[in-house]
Amino acid sequence: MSETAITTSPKPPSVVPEPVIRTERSSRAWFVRYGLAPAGSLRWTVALFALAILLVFFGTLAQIDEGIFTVLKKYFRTPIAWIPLQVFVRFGQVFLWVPPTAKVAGSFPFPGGQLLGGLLMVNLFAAHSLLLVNLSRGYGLSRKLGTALLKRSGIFVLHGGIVLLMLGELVTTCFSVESRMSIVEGRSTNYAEDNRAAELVVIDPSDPKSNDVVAIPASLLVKNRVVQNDALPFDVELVRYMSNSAFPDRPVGDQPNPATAGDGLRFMAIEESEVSGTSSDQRVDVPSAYVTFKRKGTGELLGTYMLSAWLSAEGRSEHVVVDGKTYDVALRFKRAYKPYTLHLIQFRHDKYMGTDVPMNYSSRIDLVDREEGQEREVVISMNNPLRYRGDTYYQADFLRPPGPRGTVLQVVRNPGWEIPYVACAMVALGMLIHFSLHLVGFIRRRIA
Amino acid sequence: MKLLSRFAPWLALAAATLFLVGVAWPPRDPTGQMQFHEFGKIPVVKGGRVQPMDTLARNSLLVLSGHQDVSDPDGHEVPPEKWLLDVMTCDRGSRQQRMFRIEDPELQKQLGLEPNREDLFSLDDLGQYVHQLMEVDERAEELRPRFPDDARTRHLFNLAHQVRQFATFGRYATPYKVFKIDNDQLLAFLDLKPRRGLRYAYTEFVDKIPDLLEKADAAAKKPDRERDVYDNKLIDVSRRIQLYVALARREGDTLRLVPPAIADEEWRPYPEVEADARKLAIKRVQEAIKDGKLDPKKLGNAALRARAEEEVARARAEISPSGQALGEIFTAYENHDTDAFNRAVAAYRQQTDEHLGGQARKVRVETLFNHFEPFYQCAILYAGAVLLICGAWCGAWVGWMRPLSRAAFWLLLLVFIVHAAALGTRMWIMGRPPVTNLYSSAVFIGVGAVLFGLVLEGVFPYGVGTAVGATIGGLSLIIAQHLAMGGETMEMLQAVLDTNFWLATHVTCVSAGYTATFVAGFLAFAYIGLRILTAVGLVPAKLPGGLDLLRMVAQMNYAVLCFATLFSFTGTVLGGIWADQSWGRFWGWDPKENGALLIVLWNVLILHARWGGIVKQAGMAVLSLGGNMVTGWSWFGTNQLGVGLHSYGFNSTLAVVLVGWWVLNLAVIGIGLVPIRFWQMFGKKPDDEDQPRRPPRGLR
Repeated sequence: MSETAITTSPKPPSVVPEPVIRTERSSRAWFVRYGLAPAGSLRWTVALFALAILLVFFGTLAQIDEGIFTVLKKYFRTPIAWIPLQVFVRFGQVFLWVPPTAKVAGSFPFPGGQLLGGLLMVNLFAAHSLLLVNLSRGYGLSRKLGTALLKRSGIFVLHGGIVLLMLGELVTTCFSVESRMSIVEGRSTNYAEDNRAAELVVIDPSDPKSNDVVAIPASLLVKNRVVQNDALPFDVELVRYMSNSAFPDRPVGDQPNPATAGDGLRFMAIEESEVSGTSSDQRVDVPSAYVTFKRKGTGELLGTYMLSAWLSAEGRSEHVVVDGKTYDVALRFKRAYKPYTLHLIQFRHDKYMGTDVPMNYSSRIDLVDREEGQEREVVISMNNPLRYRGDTYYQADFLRPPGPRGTVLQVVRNPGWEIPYVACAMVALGMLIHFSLHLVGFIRRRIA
Repeated sequence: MKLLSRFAPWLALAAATLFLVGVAWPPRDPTGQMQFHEFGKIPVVKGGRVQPMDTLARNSLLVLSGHQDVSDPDGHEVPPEKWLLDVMTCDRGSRQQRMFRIEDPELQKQLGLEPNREDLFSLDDLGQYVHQLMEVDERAEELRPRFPDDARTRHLFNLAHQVRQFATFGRYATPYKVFKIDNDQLLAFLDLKPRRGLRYAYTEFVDKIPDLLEKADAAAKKPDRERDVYDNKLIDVSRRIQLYVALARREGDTLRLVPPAIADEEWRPYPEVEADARKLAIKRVQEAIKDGKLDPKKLGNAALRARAEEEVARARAEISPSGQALGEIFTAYENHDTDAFNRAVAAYRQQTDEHLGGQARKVRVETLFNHFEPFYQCAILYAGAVLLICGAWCGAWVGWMRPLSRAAFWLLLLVFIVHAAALGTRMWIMGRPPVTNLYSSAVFIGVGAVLFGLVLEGVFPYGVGTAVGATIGGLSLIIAQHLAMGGETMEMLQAVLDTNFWLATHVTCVSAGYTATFVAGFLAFAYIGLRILTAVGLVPAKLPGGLDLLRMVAQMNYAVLCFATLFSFTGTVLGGIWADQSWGRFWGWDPKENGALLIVLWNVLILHARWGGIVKQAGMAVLSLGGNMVTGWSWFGTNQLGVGLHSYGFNSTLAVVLVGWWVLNLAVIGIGLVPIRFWQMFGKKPDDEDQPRRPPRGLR
């Protein structure tokens, strides 16, 4: 196996003690020797791989305690990850008989996914540049250079694929948007909801043709506590915000009830800890809030209301009257409206005979797009998504009883979704070329 | 020796073939006795899958007691089918058993009982009052204050309690010792004494079952991580009791006995059909009485009951001919009527065979498959191949090397064919690609590793390939055997997995990646072992052909690593594409996904280290052992974390084995890191002509 792929464990391009006059060349040599060669060293590659392996391992262990999105943010989509020592305790608890109550505080810094990915990219480019420099120096522009390049063609294609793959991940990180669309059987929906962001909406329903909606992102409300804006018919002041809550229930005992009007008089929102841990049960945080509305200018109290995404999901909203005009107010998941409508004709959920094991979920949908003048029937099922106008709809879940029957679709808008496909094909092709060349060479030598 | 060399392979093949034919020969019951094996071929549905009674019996036994063999109380082994029949028919015998003492004549009269001398009555005698009594016991606390606290009331409540206990659990008692209970605390709770084998009969702890189920319920409500060993054992035993009761009641726990009258309809639980038949019969009798065709007063009670039974039989035949035929089998068995039993089984099988068509053939083949236990037999033969190779190496001095290693190669080829054919049969029965769960992944990894071993042996015929292939083949089948303890290994797939395309590409590819990484790891074991042996001088460094032994193993290791990288990368990426297709995320950082990624990264790391000259042969071997550890983590470790889409639950035995596997690899890594000069100290002193001895350090 004297065949080496990238000959970088370099005899550094022999530093020819040439007269200093040819500054241009020697500076290039200097760059190659002290810049490219170390940066493209395979030692770096191996070290970075080792660090990446550890990072992935830590990131896996961390998922015992933290939600997938938290882990993503804290380990993989960051330059520096702080690894809590607790992950080792967790590992010990699962495999090494460490008592389940053991806890260790503290954490240590570790290169995160972005840093490692970036360094690997630098290493890769440096190594390839070095290879090209060395080859061109060795062979000049001759036929031999062509053969040498051809011999390494697998490597070039393969690494090109890797670069593309990582770019694809970058594009996904930056531009991909995930949301969900719930449709009740027999009804239509034209918006998707982002389960990880809520908004407070004030709707003026007086115009029967179209509603005038003002939306305040919950994050802004939490940050500023008070929101005053010309577009709003009144001032909004946050009393209490719960990023996750249980379904509002009748008040128990004599807890103080902040609400002074609306449904909040009868029901109370109860705070719950944020959903962490597994993504397998597909649970989401459902926020609730207590909000006080005040008349603009005078600051006269209009009432403190309990608003909950639980209630808005059922189509309920509070009514606030100011100056004889009624506004609908609700706290709901952030909506992204689509220029077309999906109408759920039928949702099917089949199980295997005599069991509760789901066999198949599918939604039969009527897609109506007035803009494009389209109307067609489509079936979305597990492993069979619908791609339409940049959005992809996946069968994700269904509306559970006691509510009406319906489907929940995962909506993903990812401009880079095709990149991994191309990248992977390239890597596989590269590997195939490279290993085949090796194998052929090996067999030839055996036969000879 | 030459003769031996020529015939050794044939001898090995002949012996193995004889062995295989011997164990695969279809079993028969002696004529004139009940044909249990024929009964075993009757199709039923469990877990959504049509399977033979034989599979149901064996899997249930596996779940209950940990193995498929069962002995009657006298210690004679009985076929699993007989055990199943005894469980399924235990009800009638116990219903007729007179065991409730009711001495109060007034109470006897109230319950419509005909007095007998011992004042003992059976569940059947209580007849229609059973349900009322059960209800009384259920609401005892609420009802008790409403009645005077006298002897009769107490007697009644007592009786109600006994009846409820017996009717819910006690009536299903059989004396077979099939419940494996291996926890001291649990044994103490059930009032059982530890004994050899730790297998207990249902009868031995039946009175504790309600308490046990209650405790298990409480344990099941705790979150996973807060449960201790006792909690888990409680849950486990309660599940097994539920399975057993389901068998005895012939319904529940996804069990469906009665095939539909029309194809494409659903199978039904047996008691449901029975209840429908009774309902219909009662309606008809009532109509007949109303129409005046039947006069209950004239007929008398006994004749009326007989008439009703007739109606039930007729209704049963109308509603479900299969249900009726099945009922006949059970009745014949209850009556110990051998002829009737055999006739009923034959008739029923003919009927279902016609009805089910292709499915029926699968069911028949599955019965043979169960009896053959091909993976178990293969494991034995793999051990044989390993022994042959050991013999070849140990006897190399006396010229055994060639004949025995050739014999091992041909034996391995034969076992490979059987192993692959068995896997193929499984695929045909399920209609699925090879890998659908952990169990089948073990079977697949075994077969893949053997293929690798055979190819390597073909290129370098010195026994290393055979040894590695046979070892991994055998070990993977042992692992599979343990994974099969959960019972069903051909379970139906969750909706998201229900796609043969992705199972065939992604899952197969990832499994092939596991396989290759393990083969590389085992070659590394061989390398490190041989390196020490050559250093010590026990094994010649040069092979007969002048080939360098260590270099050869290193070459194999490298080649397999390349394949490992190719397969694991392709598989991982295909998984990403699947994920993108099914929920729009190419990469989800799920633990199992990460596990696959770790294998890719690890293999890539080894290759780059080798290309960069950072490691040489030995270093590559040491790193390949790390590949063993990483693959172990990815295969089983990630499942233990209990998070993510691929989590299949915690298994404490698996965790221990996994830790053992890591420790073993770490130990060998440690050995591999010892400089070669250390070992050379124990060997023959190198000949002075060959290698000039180094001058002492001080002089250099």
